[in-house]
Amino acid sequence: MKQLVLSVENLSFQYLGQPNEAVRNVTFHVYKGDWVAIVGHNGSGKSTVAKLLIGLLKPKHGEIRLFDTVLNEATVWQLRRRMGIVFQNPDNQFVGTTVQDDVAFALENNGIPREEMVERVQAAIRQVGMEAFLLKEPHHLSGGQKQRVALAGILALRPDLIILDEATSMLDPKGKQEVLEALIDLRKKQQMTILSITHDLEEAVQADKIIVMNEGEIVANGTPSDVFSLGEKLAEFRLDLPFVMKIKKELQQTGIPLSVHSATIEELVDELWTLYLNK
Amino acid sequence: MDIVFEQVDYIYHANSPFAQRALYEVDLAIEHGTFVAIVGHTGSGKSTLLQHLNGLLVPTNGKVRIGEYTLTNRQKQKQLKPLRRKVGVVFQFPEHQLFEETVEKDICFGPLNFGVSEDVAKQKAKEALALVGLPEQLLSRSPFDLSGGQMRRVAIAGILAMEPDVLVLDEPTAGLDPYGRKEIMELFARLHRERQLTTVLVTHHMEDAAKYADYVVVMQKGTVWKTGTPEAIFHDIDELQQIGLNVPETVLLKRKLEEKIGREIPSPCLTNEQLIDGIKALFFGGRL
Repeated sequence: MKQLVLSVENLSFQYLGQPNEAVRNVTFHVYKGDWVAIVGHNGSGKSTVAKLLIGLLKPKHGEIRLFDTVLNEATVWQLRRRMGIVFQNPDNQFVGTTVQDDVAFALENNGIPREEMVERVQAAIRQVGMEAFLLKEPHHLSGGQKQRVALAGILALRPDLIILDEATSMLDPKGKQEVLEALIDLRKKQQMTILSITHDLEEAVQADKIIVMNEGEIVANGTPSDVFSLGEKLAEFRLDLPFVMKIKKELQQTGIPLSVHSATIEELVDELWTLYLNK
Repeated sequence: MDIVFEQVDYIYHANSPFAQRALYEVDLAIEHGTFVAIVGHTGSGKSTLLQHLNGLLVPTNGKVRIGEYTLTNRQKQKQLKPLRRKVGVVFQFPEHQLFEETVEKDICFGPLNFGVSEDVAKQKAKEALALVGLPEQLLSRSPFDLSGGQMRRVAIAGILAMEPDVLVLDEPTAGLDPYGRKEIMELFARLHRERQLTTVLVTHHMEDAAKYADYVVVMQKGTVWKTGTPEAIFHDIDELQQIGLNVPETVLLKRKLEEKIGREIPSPCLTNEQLIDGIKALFFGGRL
C-alpha cells in the first residue's frame, strides 16, 4: 500500500460576492510517487483548488491534509515548506537578481547551510537545463526559460509534493517537453509526488490519474485511458480530446474501422497501414 | 502598411558590460494585408523582433520601415505616437494591463490618449466590446470582477478600439483552454479579413501557424532562419526539429503514414480536415 501524501476531503469554497461555490465537495487523494493531473477549462475551479491547497484561500468546508498534518492557520507555514507550487506566470515569482540567486532564495529562507545550498541550486538548475544561465538576470529570460527557473526554485527545496498550476502552458513544445521529462525523471528517481493542474490533455496523459473538474465539481476521475474514453462528454466540459483520439474518431465516422486501442501517432499509423493493406 | 526590416540588429544594454545581442542581420518584408506567423524556439528573438513593430525598441543597427515611418537608432520617443495608433500590440497576458474602474473606461483609455472626444471613445468602446463577443452590460462592470477569458477579451477590445491597421499578437492564446484558444484565434482571423489588417502573430502553436497564416517566419538564434508559406515551411520536418521546433501533428501523421504505406498523400495536411480528407482519399479513392 502506497503512502498517502495529500488528502482532500469534501472541500468547498466560495468567492466573496459570487452566487455559486467555485469549488464544491471536492474529494481526492494523492499517494507517494504518483502523478495526478487535475484538468478542466478556464474557470472550472481547478486553480482555486491549488490556492486552497497552499493556504492562499481558506475553505468554506472540508479538510486538507499533508501526511498527518491538517492544513490550518497554525500549520500553514510548516506545510508550505513541504509543498512547492509553480504558478502559471513566472514573472510574479521572481525575487533574485540572477538565476542562481533566485533558485537559492527559498533555501536561504529556510536556513540551509551554504555548501549544501550551492550543491542543491546547481543540481536543480541542471535538472531544468538552465545551467548556461546561472548568472543571467531573470527578467532577461524568455517566458519558457523563466518557468524552468521557477521550477528549479521548487526542486531545490526538495518538497514532499510539487504542485504545478498551468506551469507548462506558456512553454514552447521543446521547453515543455524538457520540463515534463524533468518531472518524469524526478518521480522515477526520487519518488517525487506531483499534482499538476492543467487544461492540456496531452500533458495530462503523463499522469497516473486524471481528475476532471467542471463548474467546481469533480465530474470524472480515473486513469488517462478511462478519462479519454469519455469521448463526447469531454467536449461538454470544454475539454478537447488529444490529437490522435480526435483524428481516430473522425476517421471512424468516415467508415474506416479503427479499434479503440491506438493512442499514439505511431500506433495509429500502424493500424491504418494494416487496414490499408487489407482493404 | 508594409513592414520592412533591413539588416536589423538589436543589442540589449549596448555599449555596456551587460550587452547581449538579441537580433542580428534581420531582413524581413511583410506586405500589407498579410497574416504572418512568427515561430521559433524560446529565446530565438521573436519577442524582441515584435517590440520593434511599434517602436518600443528601436534597432541598434539597421532600420525598420512601417508604412511611412522609419525607425532607426536615432529615433525620438515622442515621434512614435502616431505609429503606435496604427500598430496595435496585444502582449502576452494582456489582461495584466487592465487598470481602470470599469470596462468602458479601460477600453476608452487608448482612444482618449490619441485625442478623440469622450463620446467618440465611448462609441468605440461599445463597438470593440461587441467585436470581441462580449455583451454591452459588461461596460459598467469592473474588469477585475470578470473571468480570465473575459478579461483577456476586454484587454483585446482596448487595442481594437484604437482601430489599428496592423495587429501584433504575442502568444495571444497563452494560458487559455483549447476552446478559448480556438475562439480567440477565430476572432483574429475574422478581424483580419473584415478589416483588411496586417496581422503578425507570434506563436508556439504550429497548428495555429499552419491554419491561419499566409506566411511563416522561422526565427533561430536571433535572426530569420527561413520564411515561406506554411506548406513550404512545414514540409521539411527534420530540418525544423533540428532547431527545436515541431511541425503540426497533422503533418507528422501524414509523413509517417506516407513512409509506412509508400504512397504520397497529395495534400499538405495543414489542418485536421485536410488530413482526414487525405486519408479518406487513400482508402476510398477520389480526388483530394
